[in-house]
Amino acid sequence: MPQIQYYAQLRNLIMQMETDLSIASLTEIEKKVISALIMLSQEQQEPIHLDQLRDHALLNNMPQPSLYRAFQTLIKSGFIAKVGSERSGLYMPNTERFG
Amino acid sequence: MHLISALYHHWLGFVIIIYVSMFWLCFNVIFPIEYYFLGESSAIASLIFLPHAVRVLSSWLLGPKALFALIPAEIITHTIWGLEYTSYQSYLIPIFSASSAVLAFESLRIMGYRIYPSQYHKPNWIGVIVAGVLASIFNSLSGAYLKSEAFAKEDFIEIIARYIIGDTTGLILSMIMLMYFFRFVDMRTTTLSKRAMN
Repeated sequence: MPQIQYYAQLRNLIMQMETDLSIASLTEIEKKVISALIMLSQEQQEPIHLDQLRDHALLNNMPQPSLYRAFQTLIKSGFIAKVGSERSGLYMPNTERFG
Repeated sequence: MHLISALYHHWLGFVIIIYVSMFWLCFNVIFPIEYYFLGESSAIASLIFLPHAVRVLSSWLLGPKALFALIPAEIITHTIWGLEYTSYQSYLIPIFSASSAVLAFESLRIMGYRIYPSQYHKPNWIGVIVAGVLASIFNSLSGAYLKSEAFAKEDFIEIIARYIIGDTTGLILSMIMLMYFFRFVDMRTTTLSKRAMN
């Protein structure tokens, strides 16, 4: 195995440990999603629809798959919560998670 | 310096250099602190033994071929830091220490546990820690037996426990240090990229 692959394997192991222990750093995309959601929910004081998030300046150039992946990670980590039914498309930041 | 640079860029040399460095850190920083607080039994087994992480992680990455790096590394550190080759047992100490992690991973593999890195499954960090504990058990039993002339029989259980605690603490602490090291590398990479773009 080339040297760089050893580094990559070790890196991957540590990243998996961080993710499983819920202490992974947020990626740039995840930080943008959280920021947009917090800003919109502070303005409106109610759950935010996915379409509003997509139109926000921080997220309007983001590819859809990246956005959806970020949502899944943030929901799994407890940073944001889905509101209503499965298809409601409404989200709220989980302020307790931010300490 | 050319030789060290060349060694550093090959996995074998890299493992040896890192192992010797961690041993230096333990011997010159951690052991004196432990001796001050815990007395003479600390000379037999440390409560934070960082080189064990090098044994475990290199065995995880390289498999049995890690022995080509770990055995020389153990012989170097044992020779520099005071092991006296007075009997046949003293020659076996570095070899058993070096082999403990490889033996642990191979035992788990034979029992059907997939812990070695693979493209077909997620990295199993819990498995790495379990292998680390198993390696520590192998190391402690062999080390305590081979060093048994150096301490009283009634201290045997305490020595085994110290080996296991020290090795496991060293492994977990090292993995946490790696976590922060990779985050630092990420931050530096992001900062340098942004500067280059501007």
